Amino acid sequence: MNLTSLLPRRRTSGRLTALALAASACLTSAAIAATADVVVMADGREFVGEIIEDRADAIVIRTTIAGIEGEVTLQRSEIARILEDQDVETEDAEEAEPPTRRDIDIEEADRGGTFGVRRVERREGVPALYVVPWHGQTGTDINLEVYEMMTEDIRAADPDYIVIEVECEDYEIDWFAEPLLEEFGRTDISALDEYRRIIDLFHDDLRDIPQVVWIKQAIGMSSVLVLAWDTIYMHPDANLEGAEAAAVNFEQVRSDADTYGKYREAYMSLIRGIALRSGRGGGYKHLPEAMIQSEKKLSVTWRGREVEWHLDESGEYDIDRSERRGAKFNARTAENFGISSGTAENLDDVALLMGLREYDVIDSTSRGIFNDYVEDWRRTFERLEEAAIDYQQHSSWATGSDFIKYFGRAKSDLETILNCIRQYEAVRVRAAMQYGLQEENLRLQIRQMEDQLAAARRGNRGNAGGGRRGAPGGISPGG
Amino acid sequence: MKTLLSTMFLALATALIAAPAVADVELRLPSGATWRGDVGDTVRIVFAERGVDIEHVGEVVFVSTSPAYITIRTDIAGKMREKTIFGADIKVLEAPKRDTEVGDPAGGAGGDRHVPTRKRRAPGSGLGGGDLADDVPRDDLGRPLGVFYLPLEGGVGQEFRHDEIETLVEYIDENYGPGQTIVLFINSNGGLVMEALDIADIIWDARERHRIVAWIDKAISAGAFTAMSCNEIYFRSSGNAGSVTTVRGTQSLQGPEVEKHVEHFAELAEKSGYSPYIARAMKLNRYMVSYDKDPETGEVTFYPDLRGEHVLSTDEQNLAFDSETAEHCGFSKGTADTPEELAKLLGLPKWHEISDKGRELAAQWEQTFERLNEQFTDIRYEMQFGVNNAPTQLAALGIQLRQIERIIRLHDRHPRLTWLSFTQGNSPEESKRNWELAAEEVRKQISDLRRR
Repeated sequence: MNLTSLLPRRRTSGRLTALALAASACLTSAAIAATADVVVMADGREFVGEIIEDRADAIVIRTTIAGIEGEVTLQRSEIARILEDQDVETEDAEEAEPPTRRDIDIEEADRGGTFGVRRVERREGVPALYVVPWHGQTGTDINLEVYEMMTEDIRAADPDYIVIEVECEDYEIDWFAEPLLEEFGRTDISALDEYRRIIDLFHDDLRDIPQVVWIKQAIGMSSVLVLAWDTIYMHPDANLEGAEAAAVNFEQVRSDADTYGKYREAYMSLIRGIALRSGRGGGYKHLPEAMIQSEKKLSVTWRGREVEWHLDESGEYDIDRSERRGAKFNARTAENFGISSGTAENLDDVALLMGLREYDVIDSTSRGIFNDYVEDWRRTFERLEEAAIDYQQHSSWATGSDFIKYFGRAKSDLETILNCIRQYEAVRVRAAMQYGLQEENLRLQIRQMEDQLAAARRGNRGNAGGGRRGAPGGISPGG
Repeated sequence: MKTLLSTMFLALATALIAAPAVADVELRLPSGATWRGDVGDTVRIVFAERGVDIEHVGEVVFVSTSPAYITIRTDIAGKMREKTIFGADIKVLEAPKRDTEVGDPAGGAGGDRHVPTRKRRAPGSGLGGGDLADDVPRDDLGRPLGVFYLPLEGGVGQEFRHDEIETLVEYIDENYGPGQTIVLFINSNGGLVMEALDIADIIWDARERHRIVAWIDKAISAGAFTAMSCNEIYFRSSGNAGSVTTVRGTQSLQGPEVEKHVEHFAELAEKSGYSPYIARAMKLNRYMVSYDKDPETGEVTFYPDLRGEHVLSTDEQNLAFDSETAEHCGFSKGTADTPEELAKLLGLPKWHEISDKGRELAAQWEQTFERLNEQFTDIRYEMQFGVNNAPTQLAALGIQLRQIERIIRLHDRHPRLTWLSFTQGNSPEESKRNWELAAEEVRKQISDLRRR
């Protein structure tokens, strides 16, 4: 059975039908007719409206959901019963609830922008959005330091909503593209602690401001982290996948069954905890487990409109039967299975899905804070790499009569490296990931070089630990 | 008919007796205003909760004037429930406005869980910082209702030690007496078993006088062991607990020694009121655990196999709880992400830290720990580079001896931490002895050299 055929589509990616345009006028009308046709689906969903086409295989109903009217084609095989001309409760359309998951079927029309939603200048009564960039590499670009800075800005801006805009791509979904391993997100347990603190920042410190996640791309560790939020929207081209790399944290001890069991469960229980932060039940916590552990299967069962997740094949619909890769989703499948609450091509779409007809994006410094941080730490990291190259060169030149001159420069290079690490947490992380550089080792190395230099200056180079050997240990910027 | 009349008279008599006690109750509000009403009245109440103004409309169920609080029946999360609000938190208490419906908090916003509604700000609702204000709620004897909070974070035996727990309990005993609530916030990947055993002993002793609460952010291995020694466990929603397997390097401990560990842990779990099956399943894969939960009573029955409806751990798994499973099977008593939420679960009207002694102790040790690590680094440096680059052999031996003596002195003050950093034996005592032997050896070498 094709699951997508069962589900009403909701794609607001920029274009709505003229029909919907006409229907919008009804939004301001006082009430909806008191009788209507009701189609009850086998899975419990109900469509209330006017049946406009009655075919052998399907019926077409014009229905208004969340204030937006559209035509929905329902397969007869999925219909439990049809009730015509039923008395229905009148509902003031102005008070209609905002769009809900899987509720809207909107056909596309050739018009730009998102129907009915517009960004306006901030004024009293117009909801203000604060867009938080969640871009780049998890663990470096995305780290606690930058979001702590941003929290202050958010507080000052006092938005009505926070939109966390996720754009992370550990690798390109292109089999021919060479993945940049150094750009893979961090997955170690210390990194998990950091991610949990970032999530806490939004869930606890900013808990009074409603938050949604809008995924433009989430490939890698971020695909798991976004599950900490209840409301997720996805760009039509977005993917939610690529978390399998995290399994290295326990796969490396597979040779000992009990150690493996310990490491895996310690890690996976933390991962489940991230999904539990969303407040979603129904076994939603198993979703990231299946995304990380390739051998785990994933299936779902529909309970009315709610999804029940199974970390095996016991559900009605298999999502992931592979034992060689983790579960993965695109915008459509994520919406079908209720992970995403809708597909949004742009911020207008996001606002529409949030039930906002007008909105303003706070002219905050969020992008500035984020981009400046990313640019600065990456520039600092480049400086670190240059200093590492200089260090190699100066060390190799530190011989004979030039020993003191070049050995001193090599020491300065190491000091530059140490300063870079101290300046940005992201640099510290990346230096450890890429070159195994640790602050303590660098400090010791610098101290050792100072002693060697002092000894050399005292004319005691022979006892100074091999000045001609150059600096002890080595760092290779080439990785 | 006779029975019916009797029942009616009885009901009437009861009502007559009860009436004077509940009629025309007065409640003085912090604003200075006085509310007069009656049980059964419908009221609109606005009160502060975690710094947020919450509004409810409901029926008055009970009113107490001293201590001042009111209990109303109202719609909470879609169900009619009773809620008690303390007088100090009440901002408005009045007859409802005509257009306000019962169970429509704050104007009826809400609905679809996928479009969250804006809550009002809860300043200072993060983990840090306690409410040390004077207007704290008190019990009938006038004692402040609150907690002592001790963050325990990091490696057990390193940043996370028994010493701070012991000192805090002593301080509380001396200054506040028995019956206090001590919240241990646990965030640890585990650590030394011997330290966890000491911690358990101290907690068990303290439990005789106080209520010891584990609030789990992360309790892996020795962290879980610590939590399971407490009276009660609560989780943060992202928290976990378990994976208590003893590992050396990357190999798990096996054989008779591990069975001893397993049984000891199972005994401790049972003593704390947890199923020993849970403890065993946290130790080794081969121990399984499942449970049934009575839908009526909520009573949980654990099994050492997979016969229960809910499987916690198969023979291919090691048990580590997440917050949801822990709460469902009763391992945890509830889930709280903020201190205020925890206070509610603990039955306290608000989060109030009676003293910040616990935070102070934690901060002091954090600083000391940092300084000690600098000393350890310095010793390592001198032992390697200093010795190798000394101008003479005698000087090298002198440097070596000074560093060994530093290690021995550190052993006296911080045996486990020093042992972890300069391991020369299977225990801190053995390690210290070996360092002392090494010192004697170096002294003899120095003496021999000087005699030449």
